[in-house]
Amino acid sequence: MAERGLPARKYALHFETMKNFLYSLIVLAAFFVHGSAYAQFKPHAQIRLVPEKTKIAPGDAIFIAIEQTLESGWHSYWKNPGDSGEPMRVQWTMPDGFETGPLKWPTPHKIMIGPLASYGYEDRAVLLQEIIVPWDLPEGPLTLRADIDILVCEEICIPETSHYEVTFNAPGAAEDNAVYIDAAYEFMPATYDLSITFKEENDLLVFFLGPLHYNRVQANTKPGTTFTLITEEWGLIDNPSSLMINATARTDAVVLAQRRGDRPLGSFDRITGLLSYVTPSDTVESISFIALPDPDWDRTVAIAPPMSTSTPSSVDRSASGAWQDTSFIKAILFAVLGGLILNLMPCVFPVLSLKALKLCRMGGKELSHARMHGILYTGGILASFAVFAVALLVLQAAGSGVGWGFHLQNSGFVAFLAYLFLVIGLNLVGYFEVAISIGGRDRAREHGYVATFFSGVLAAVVATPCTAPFMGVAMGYALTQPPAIALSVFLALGFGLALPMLALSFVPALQKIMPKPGAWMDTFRKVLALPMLLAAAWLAWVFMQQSGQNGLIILIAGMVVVCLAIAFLKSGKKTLRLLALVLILTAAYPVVMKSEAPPVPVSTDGWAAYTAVDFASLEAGHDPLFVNMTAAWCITCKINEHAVLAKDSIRTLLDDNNVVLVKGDWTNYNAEITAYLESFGRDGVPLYVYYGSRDDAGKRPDPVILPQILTPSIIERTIK
Amino acid sequence: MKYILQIFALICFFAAPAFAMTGVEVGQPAPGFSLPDTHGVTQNLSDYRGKIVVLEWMNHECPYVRKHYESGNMQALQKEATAQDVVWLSIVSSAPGEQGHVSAAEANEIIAQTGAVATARLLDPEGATGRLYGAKTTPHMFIVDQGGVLVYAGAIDDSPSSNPKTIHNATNYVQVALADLAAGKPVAQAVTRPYGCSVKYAR
Repeated sequence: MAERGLPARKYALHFETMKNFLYSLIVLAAFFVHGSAYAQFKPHAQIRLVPEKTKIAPGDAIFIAIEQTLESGWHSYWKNPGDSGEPMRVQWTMPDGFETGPLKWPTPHKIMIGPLASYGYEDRAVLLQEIIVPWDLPEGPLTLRADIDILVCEEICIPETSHYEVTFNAPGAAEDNAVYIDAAYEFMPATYDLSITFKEENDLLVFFLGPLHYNRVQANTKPGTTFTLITEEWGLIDNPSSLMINATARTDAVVLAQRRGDRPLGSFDRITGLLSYVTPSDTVESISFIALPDPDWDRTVAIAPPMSTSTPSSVDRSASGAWQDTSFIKAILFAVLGGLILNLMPCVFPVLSLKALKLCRMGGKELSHARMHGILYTGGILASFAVFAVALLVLQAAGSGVGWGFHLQNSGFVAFLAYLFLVIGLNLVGYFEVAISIGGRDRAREHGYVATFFSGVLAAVVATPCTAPFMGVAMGYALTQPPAIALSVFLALGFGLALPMLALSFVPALQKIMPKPGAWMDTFRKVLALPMLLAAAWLAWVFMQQSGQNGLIILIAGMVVVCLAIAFLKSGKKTLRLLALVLILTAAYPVVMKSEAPPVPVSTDGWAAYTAVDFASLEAGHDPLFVNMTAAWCITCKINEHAVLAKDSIRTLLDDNNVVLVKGDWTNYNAEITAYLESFGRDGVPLYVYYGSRDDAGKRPDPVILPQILTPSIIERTIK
Repeated sequence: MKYILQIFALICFFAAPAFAMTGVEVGQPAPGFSLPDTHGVTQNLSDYRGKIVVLEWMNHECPYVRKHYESGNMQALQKEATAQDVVWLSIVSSAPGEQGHVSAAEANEIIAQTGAVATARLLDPEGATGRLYGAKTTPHMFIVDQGGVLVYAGAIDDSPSSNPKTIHNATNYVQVALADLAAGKPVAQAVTRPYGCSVKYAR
């Protein structure tokens, strides 16, 4: 083996020499090309070295200024260049015994370049390099050499390399540039003895400046100035985002917050940086700071963010987890089953049973017509689910953290559903009959084909608030798969929803099992109005969770207006009909209005509100945890909460075992909860996860995912 | 009336809220994208599920990118990676009129000249995919694992300079990360500071 290896090695050596030779040729060629053009070549950054003085004594500590004069429109970079760029680098070659102190950088500007932000200098900047002269300074002239690499950018970037020399103690007149150095020092960040702490919270880096700072800062700044936070380390803050500042003269404290950057806070035990602002004389100044971790903040959070793959509290999507165990066939089966169960949901059942009864009323009239209805109804459902799936996939592809049920996080859609349920309820109870149609008087209309197709669409729409169990896993699986598979899972769900009607229309024997049509049907219809109207009331409650009590009043007013509009429409008078149209447009307000800032989730009834930060600290603790991911619009969640989780015996059991209860409310969009659901391969609520307590070795058993329909015995078994 | 409502319902499905983009974070699923390559073929990230995918933001005129191409460093890495069945997608997010913006034909010419051997070079003149990933510099490297999770984001190596001489002693983060993945280990150095020119997005 070794013998065989030898010639190859020889060749490699030979190759190396060749490469070096070629490289020298290229460098040489480049030199000639550049050399000939050198006369016209003017650097974009002109650099000059200015020593504080040229006569130095043993033990002196002096500054050498590195002055950059930048071509108009070009900029160079600060020591943390921001999103792109490189800081200037200086390599000193000095006589023996000389040492360099820190390089001082003047306050940089934040330079926005499209969607990116850099920190640097425009026009002119003077950096100060401290040089410490040795005690045993030799006699005679001494030369210091600086090799400087600087990157200057306009729209494009050009690296420029140059070297400079400074000679000290040369015979002749001495230079004294103390005034120049003093002037340059004015542009350096000021240092105050500030007590600042930092912590990470909800994707923000938050700094607390202790008391007495507000007035000090206020006195130095131009009214209305923008403060800029710049950290010395890269990636701690999202550079282009702006700094949020909360300062009050009353408490004399300042809280700063900026979006976090890409880099994990890791084990940073301090953050150094600058806070820059504009002074009343329109110059940019800054205060440098050193922030220490907030003592009340749990460090484990930053070291192991709860959503990263490395922590035991979450399940790595790529390694294990629900979605990978879910084979395609299984997902399809779950989806069909889930769709079937949707039929029994209080919101779908009335629509479905009416359709079924209508089908039976046709009796054995014409089998082909019945089949046609079955197919069209299925088509309506499948079309709706396809549209929904495509919308969801497109949003996901665009990078939105949306999941199943995402449309219910939109208060406008909830308001629309509330109206829809109200109108269906009113129709069922006999308040009005549907007499207006958009179809012509053709054969299709005669057979009610169009209506059947749209009742399929309607069934799909009304089904959406009632996310049935079994669907969570299937949906979570679907959304991690290529679009074709995802679409098939959604269509399977729709097929499950359509299945009872399809079966009924195709198998006459099944129609015979259905009760005979008669006068009872009218009563039945009225009874069915009840769940529909209750669903409307429930949706109004969901809307209130999203838009507050004022929103609720607007929606209720809208519902009254809709009732009035229907009454007007019934009258048949042209003017009243016109008025009805105006009323309906007015009622659309809650659908289109922007919901106010959603109320902040609060801890209620012994449940701690889920935030990634809080959860990570709870998870780091010893006690068992029960996580309940819910939403106001998720009826399964509400049933579980009221029938099981709120039960006295269960609450006692949880209390006795010191189980910490954590509730995540997904009623409104919440990226952290979406991320948590995703970590379990889910895209919707409910999700119940139990974390057993840590054993003596400090290890926590793997979290247990509970079924989506809870029973007291499931909870009991899980905890024991 | 009922029909109007029903049609309205259908529209509502489309009018689903468009949430702000979430960006990329190492350890999280990498967001999907589809972009045309220089041969007019649409490349979807999801097409490569099951394979390791390297995303390389590039701008052939940027001195930092040129350092890696003119020295043959990038091509060698592309060759090494693709030989291990890793998919390598080079992405150009320069906006029209900005440095590095190329037509498909120009890009193919550059590929031929430099001998780049990436799986495909994708054109993102609108910068949508660049912004989606938060690509800041050229080069800026991302690695997506077989399960579609982002496992690396940052620089190509630890030598933030445009001087080709610095390549020799540099530790190539992408190479190390790919070796970690090949060994079935998590990527040790998963986030590094990307260096180079800024991505020339539309202003």
